[in-house]
Amino acid sequence: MKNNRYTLTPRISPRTWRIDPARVPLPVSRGALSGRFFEDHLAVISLILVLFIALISILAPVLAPYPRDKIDLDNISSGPSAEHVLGTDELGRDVFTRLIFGGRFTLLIAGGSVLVALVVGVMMGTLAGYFGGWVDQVVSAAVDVFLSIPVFLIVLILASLSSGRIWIIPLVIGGTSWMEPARLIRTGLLRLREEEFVEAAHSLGVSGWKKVFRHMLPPALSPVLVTATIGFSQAMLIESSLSFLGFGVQPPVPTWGNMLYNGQIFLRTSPLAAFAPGFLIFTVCLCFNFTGRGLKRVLVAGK
Amino acid sequence: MKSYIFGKILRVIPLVILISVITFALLHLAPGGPVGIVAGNPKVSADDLSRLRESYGLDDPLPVQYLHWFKQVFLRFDFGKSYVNGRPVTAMIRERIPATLELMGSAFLLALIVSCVMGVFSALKRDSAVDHFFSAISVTGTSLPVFWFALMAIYLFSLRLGLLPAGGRETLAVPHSVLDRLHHLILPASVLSLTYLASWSRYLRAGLLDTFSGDFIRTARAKGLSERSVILKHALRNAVLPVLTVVVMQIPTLFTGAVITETVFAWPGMGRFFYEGMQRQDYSRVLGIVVISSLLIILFNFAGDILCLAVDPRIRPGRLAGGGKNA
Repeated sequence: MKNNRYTLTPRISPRTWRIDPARVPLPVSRGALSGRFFEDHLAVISLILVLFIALISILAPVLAPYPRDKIDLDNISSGPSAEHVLGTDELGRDVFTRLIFGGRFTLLIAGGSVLVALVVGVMMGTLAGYFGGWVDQVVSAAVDVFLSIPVFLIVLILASLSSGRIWIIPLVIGGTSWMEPARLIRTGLLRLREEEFVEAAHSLGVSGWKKVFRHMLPPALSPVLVTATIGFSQAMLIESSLSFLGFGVQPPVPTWGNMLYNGQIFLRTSPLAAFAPGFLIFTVCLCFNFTGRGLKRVLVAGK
Repeated sequence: MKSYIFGKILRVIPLVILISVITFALLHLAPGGPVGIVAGNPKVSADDLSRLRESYGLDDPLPVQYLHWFKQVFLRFDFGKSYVNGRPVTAMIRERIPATLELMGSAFLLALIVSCVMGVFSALKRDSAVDHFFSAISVTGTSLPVFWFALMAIYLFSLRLGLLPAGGRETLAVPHSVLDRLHHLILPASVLSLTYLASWSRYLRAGLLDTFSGDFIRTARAKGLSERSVILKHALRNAVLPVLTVVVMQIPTLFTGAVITETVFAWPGMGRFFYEGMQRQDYSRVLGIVVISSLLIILFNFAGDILCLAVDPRIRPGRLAGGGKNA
């Protein structure tokens, strides 16, 4: 997959798209499942840590010791001190302050990307799984195209055309990583079509779309939740890579990725300015992956 | 089987056309279109610009331009001249390929060997401390921002310890030597391989566990074969196949290289070539790489499919999805 791996999203192959739905286990129902999630201590700790970091980012204007872009000319590229806990960057801006503010943009963009991927993926998957036939063919063709382009390169090109309009970045990242949710929804729906409770709904005269939205989509969504959680960390890695390469979010707006871009130039003199943002990206990604694994154990494997 | 392969090939044609349309659209999405970078230069007069546009055929209607472009790029593999220095893109790409193959090839090889060892040990000692440790490594590998990891590796091994060079492919102004090359290769190849082995070792572990529960493994054990031969001859051969198809499908990256790793380590390969093209808005170069890499991805996805069919008769079309317990 990824690779930054050069393509960052987990790649599904065109073959996995056409897996026989009968081989995919049915999602289990939700009763008492939350209890099982809390048994997985690693997942719970990860979730709490993520929420904590998110909270700090939200409260950035209150918590940050300095304004976001404030320049301290007496401390340029300085190490940790009483005034600046994590030192300052090459322009004399407080690293700790910018980390907190950077978290806002980093998390917001990753969240937005996942949202876009989910909306597009669920829509495409529902169309393919519910209508089948030529609609399915068209969606499959679209998936084939997206699996046959070097996604990361395309994302880089599109992001470079965004020229400072931040909202384009989640659109680009989400718009190129909807294939996995689409696949899960499609196979889920195809599988559920055969189920007795769906037949029962049908024989009770429940109309087509109501059948899909009320009865089929909710159980098919639980594996998507797992993908979304893990996808969040992938989206964060893509955004950070873009910003790190200088094609993502442009300064002075801080994200952890573009702070690292500046940090690398001054690696020798102020290593902390490069270490801290990357470490945060790593930690949050790790937390999302652990949370995703915990969710998967509960929602998909059912054991 | 033959008709299946033929059908596959037929599917590829619309795919190539769609991809060519997307790439063409990208070319024209760029601000100012293909001559955007020249248009920004104050020394270029409106007259020059219109002559330039004419020479590129930019005043033709878009469908005509597209057809010309398609013929040139997809049928003759001529990606035009670089906007930066006027050299043919194909020649420039050819110069970059060896460095990329060197880096990606060694990273692949390293990842393959290590992930085999990790996968086999994890599967054999399921739920043991070793398994958990390898599992932790693999989760770490998928969460690690490569650019950060690479920077930290440079900081530690080059700046602090002074053991390994911080970047480049060889020491300049020194006669060419294999040892020097290897010395430069260690850091980027190790960093890059970590990202691959994270997923590959998991695939192998899952495949092995799946195989171990098969009837034929029980039979092999019941026949009194040594555990070693059961694992190496029977289980591993079956479990390695899904991993192999995953690896085959990633072969195209051998060509495109790793944009991030190559940029951080100043490695003169395709990834960095692409990155520099992006910085200088050299779209003929950038899109040339996108086109080649798309074609390679299509080719190797196809190869992966065929490989799967060739080694696993159970999934051949026309056969019921019966047989093994996983059907």
